[in-house]
Amino acid sequence: MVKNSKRKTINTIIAREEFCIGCRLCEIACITAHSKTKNIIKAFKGEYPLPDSAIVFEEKGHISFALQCRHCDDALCVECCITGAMTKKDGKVIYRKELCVGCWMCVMVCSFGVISPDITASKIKSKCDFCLETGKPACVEICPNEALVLKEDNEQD
Amino acid sequence: MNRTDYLIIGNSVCGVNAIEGIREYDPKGEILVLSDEPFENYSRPLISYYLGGKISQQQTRFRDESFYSDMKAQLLVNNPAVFLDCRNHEIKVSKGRKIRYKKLLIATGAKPWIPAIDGFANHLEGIFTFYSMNDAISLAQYIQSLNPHNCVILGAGLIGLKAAEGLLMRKIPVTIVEMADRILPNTMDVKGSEIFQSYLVRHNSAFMKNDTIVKIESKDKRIKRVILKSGKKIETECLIVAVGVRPNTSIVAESSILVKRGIIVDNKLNTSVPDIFAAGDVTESPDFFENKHALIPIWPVAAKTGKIAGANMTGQEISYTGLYPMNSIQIFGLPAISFGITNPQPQNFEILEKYQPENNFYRKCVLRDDRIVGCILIGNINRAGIYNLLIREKISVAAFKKDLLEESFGFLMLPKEVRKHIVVGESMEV
Repeated sequence: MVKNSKRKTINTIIAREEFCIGCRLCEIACITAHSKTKNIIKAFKGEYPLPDSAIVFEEKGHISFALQCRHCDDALCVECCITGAMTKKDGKVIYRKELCVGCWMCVMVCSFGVISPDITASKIKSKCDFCLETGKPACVEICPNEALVLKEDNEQD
Repeated sequence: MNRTDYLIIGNSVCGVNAIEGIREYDPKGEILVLSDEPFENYSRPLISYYLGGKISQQQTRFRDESFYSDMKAQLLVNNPAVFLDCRNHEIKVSKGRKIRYKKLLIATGAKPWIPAIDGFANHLEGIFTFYSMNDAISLAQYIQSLNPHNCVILGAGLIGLKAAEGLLMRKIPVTIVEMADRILPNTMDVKGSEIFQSYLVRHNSAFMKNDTIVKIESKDKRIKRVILKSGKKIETECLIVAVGVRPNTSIVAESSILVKRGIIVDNKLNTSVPDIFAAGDVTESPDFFENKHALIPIWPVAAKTGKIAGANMTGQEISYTGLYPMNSIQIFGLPAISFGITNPQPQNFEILEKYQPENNFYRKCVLRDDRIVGCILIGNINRAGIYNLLIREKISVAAFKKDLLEESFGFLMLPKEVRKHIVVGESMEV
């Protein structure tokens, strides 16, 4: 449905709600991975402010799942960014905070609703960078029940 | 005589996306871009941020400095196209110089419309439009040197209100004159207009609705006073005319290209003349809801059509499925997003709305046949893009109508099959 004619993306994070146990460890892992120390205890005990998690977590009753940026091929957030803060780099949608003015065009067009605005700061709260530093998304790594999995080499034309 | 494979007239968001669209399919063909402005790259919506002193002129760029060299595109600034010779595939630029193209894209955008006002003259000091970087620079310089005690803005649309915000940030009180009976008449419904008006009044702006400027009085070649239709007089040394924009079609005026209000294009962004494409604000492009053409001068349309036109110039056959108006506006910290048909005649539509004045929360969905065709979100804009998705994909909301206005609206409210289809994507197994 929300896909593009050319799908070049390699590595996509897939959310499987049947397997999500609602533990929200993905959010903890995301915050830790983007903290200064990258250490869960040091980060949560000693860092202020902590980065926001880039995950939008939905939960109602016993159903839950975690969503993060899909890094769309023809990303609307990149197309509609009026400053160039949202940009495509090596197939991933990267957010350059320093360029952002908080116009919310990306919030308007993100089909997955995973770009959360920080209205007071006029910036995006947090944007999934696919853990480019390590190459392994921390949310997928930590998920205890494979509710977040990495689908690789999904190349089709 | 210069020759190029691809010639693009216009270097704003549409032209820039066309460059990217071309390069996605043709890494080598020569690209030449003509701009009638002196700047290499700037983002029009950022001029209000510049006026308000939030960013520098350098920060109005929306592509990196290496963009044109990375894209192997040659940009000629200060080079307006002056004549189009369709038959010979030629564009004349200044000084009689000609450029021959294989494929041409007209992405000349729009220009501010200035209504006839008694006493208006181009040479008068203190009258501005608010559309280009040059407009913003001259306005900022004028304000700095003269420090006017107020400013009158004609037009309470998005451009007028963003100009107002920029001025208010420079501590200049504004009076906004609007012909309609409410502000933001094209973007908002009545309730939305009221919310924004009361918010702006608290921030030092005054509004004169159901009114317009009929006369400008000047002294020593500078504006001194405006006289309104109602008879009111406002002393001012600064007037911004922001009543709207019109497609900038002058380059095709003497050609055989079909033009109504804008250049008419088909869903591949072809004009009526072979090898000539047009995109963005200059065009009337296929409408999303109706089988007709529409003028939708907004960034998302310019970007999307520019990108598709660029690709199709290389021989692709990508279809543009049409878009609808969509706007994101934040004024003094109050965010709002609107999509599609926001203020319809109620008889043919179902309207759902929720308003909580105490926290500036307003949400409205306009439905037709159980599909969302329009939406307004004020105050809380979280996950606005999901509404956009529901509109674009024409998804029936019958099963979750009661949840549409919830602050916490999300995919969980959608039926499981729909949700999985969207979130996971039909081509991926679970």
